[in-house]
Amino acid sequence: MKDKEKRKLRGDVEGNARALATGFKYLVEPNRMTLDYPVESMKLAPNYRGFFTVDDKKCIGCSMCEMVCPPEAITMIPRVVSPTGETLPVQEGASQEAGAKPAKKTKRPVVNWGRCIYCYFCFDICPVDAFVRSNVHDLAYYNDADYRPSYEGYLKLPEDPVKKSKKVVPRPDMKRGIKYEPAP
Amino acid sequence: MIINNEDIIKTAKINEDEKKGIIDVFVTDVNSLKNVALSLSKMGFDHCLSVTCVDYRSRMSVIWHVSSYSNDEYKGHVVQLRIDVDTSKLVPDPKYRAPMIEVPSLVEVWKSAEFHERETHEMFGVNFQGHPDLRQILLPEDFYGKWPMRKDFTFNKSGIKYEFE
Amino acid sequence: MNLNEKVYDISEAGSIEPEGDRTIALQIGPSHPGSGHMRIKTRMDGDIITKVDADIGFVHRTSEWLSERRQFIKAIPIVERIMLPDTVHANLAYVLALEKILNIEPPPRAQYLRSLAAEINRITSHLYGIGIFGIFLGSSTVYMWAFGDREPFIDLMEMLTGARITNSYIVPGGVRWEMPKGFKEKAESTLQYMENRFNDYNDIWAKNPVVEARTVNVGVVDRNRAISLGVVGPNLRASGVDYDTRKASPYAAYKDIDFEVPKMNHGDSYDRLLIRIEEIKQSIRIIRQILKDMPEGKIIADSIYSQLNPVMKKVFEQEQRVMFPAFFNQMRPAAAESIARVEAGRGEIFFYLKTNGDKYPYRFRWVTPSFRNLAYFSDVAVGYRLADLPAIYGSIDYFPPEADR
Repeated sequence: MKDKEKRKLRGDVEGNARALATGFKYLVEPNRMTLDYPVESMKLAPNYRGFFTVDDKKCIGCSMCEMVCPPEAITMIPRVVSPTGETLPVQEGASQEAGAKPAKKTKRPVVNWGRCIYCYFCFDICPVDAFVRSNVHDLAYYNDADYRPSYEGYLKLPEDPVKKSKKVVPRPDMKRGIKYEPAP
Repeated sequence: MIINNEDIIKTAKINEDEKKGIIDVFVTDVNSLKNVALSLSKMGFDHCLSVTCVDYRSRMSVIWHVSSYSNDEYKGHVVQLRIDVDTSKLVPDPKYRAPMIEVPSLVEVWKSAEFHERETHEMFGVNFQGHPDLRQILLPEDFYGKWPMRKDFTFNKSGIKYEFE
Repeated sequence: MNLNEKVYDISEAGSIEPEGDRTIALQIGPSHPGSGHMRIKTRMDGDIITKVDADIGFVHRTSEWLSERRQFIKAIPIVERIMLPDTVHANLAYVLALEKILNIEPPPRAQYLRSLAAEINRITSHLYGIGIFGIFLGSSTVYMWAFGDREPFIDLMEMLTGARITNSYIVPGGVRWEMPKGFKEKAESTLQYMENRFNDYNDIWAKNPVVEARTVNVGVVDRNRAISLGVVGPNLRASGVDYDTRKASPYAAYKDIDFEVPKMNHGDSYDRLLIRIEEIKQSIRIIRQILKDMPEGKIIADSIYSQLNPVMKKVFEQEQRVMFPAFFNQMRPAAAESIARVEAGRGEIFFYLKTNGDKYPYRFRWVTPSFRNLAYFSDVAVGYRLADLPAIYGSIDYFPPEADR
């Protein structure tokens, strides 16, 4: 062990010169890695975990997603099934079904986007694979209430807010690390 | 048998679980805890991974997890030095929400246990006797004496959903 | 001893010292002295540090308490959010502890994928540490470089898991997603890029005489002191202790992988800087081996796969995506206890899990590497100058939210 022995500093001119030369190299040829958002934006992979919605036809209202949700973002809201197979709010369904056969009660999940952490546990626990994914992730709301959509609002997948921007994909590059190329 | 020290075998119950990687050393007598720790330290278990406590309501068990950096044979094993304290006969102290339990501190044996014992002290109300600097470490000052990690600690707002109106 | 009095005694905060004491109290923080949400209470004699007391807890989030009041599966995102630069390791450590209780053995391919994710994560974690150390010493170039070079690796993780940092990739029984097509090629070119960059890093950072002058012989911890302080990870190995959890008690695929554990001799800040670069080189070597030797097969244990319903099995065959059986929601492991040790980027994570047959963990103790490296503060900086404190603090790669949990 050389613990007690003091190390010697090199302190050489060469080291300083090399550091300055490297700095100068990147001053002349910078390897900028950043993306000019929102003029350009990334085309994300299909497996990217972004906003998601539920397929109203497939969902069976079993509440598994509500149980598994780690931040408790999912709430099950009561719905009734209409004769055409679609779900309606409870009051609306009840008035339509008056006199006819009794409405079948069911539940549907709604996600509070202010709490969701995009772990996709709900996605994977669903016994009928009813969730629909999207890779939209850059969304902002004007007020807090918008983070908690109604069921009808939740069913619509949000549109990409930077749809008009130039779409690029990251590629590994020997000089820059990441280079953004136009998306195919 | 990994633990072959006679002093430890005499004073503690040893249970080696190869699969889970734990060697459980259960000390029944508080007074012999320090001696067992010293014997372990002499064997080569040179650092403390964690100090923790498990609250079983009628008793609490304080656990030191120790392992070795320098001894190749013991590197892959974790010794769980464990002692149980009966909580049913403790006298309530008006200063604290629940009475503290007392166990000897092992900081003299393993210096690395210092911060872990401080944390266990504020979370579980374990008074480590002989600890050089038994202060709070993580919680705010006004939380002293509440022992939040004990099972009887209740917090009436637990599970509330934050809804903004 | 009246403990209450001790608690309210703010001993270091500008208190009046006995006459004749020429030291003054200096508080560094808690409003972000560099990268830390912590307060370093020091006593100074001139500009020599005579006493250090690290006051942590400013970002304590009661995570142990939270995880003991939730189902087992819900602890996966919680452990990740404590160690944001080391998410895969935290996730892996918890799942290893849980698997020992549930008696699930993941298949070899899942083990390799776990190691792959862990090593990519180790590189990002070390680059994060290098960058923070850079800004501590005033080198904003290396800060920007390291954070930029972290990006290709985060991009790899995004390709593998669909999320950049909070991956939630590992579940009991295996991993959640199969390696996508084109991953190997992308990983290989990213690794090559990183290898090319080492020359530039050496020139501008590691072999730079200015950096050497700031860090050599600063914050020296010899072998015995490092062992007695119980520090972990690269900081321990920089002091000459040959200890790595991946070798001492192998988990995931590390049994089959050939790699070296870098070790330094002096234990000063400069060694702690160099060892992170050496570990990145070893991680690159490990990733290459994993990509070459990755066995074929399922990515989830049969005991989990057999519980999937027909819809889920179809999804697995089409998309190579593992869905969760209902068992994950209603896990009630029998009374048992287990531990898990995982070598994260910053050091060894230790989890102790105790179950009692209920749906929540009975006791879940987390020991994070930064909490164990806390011992450095009170011991190592004493005797050095105040200007050396950033060089010591930066070199140990301390992450306050991880220590406070």
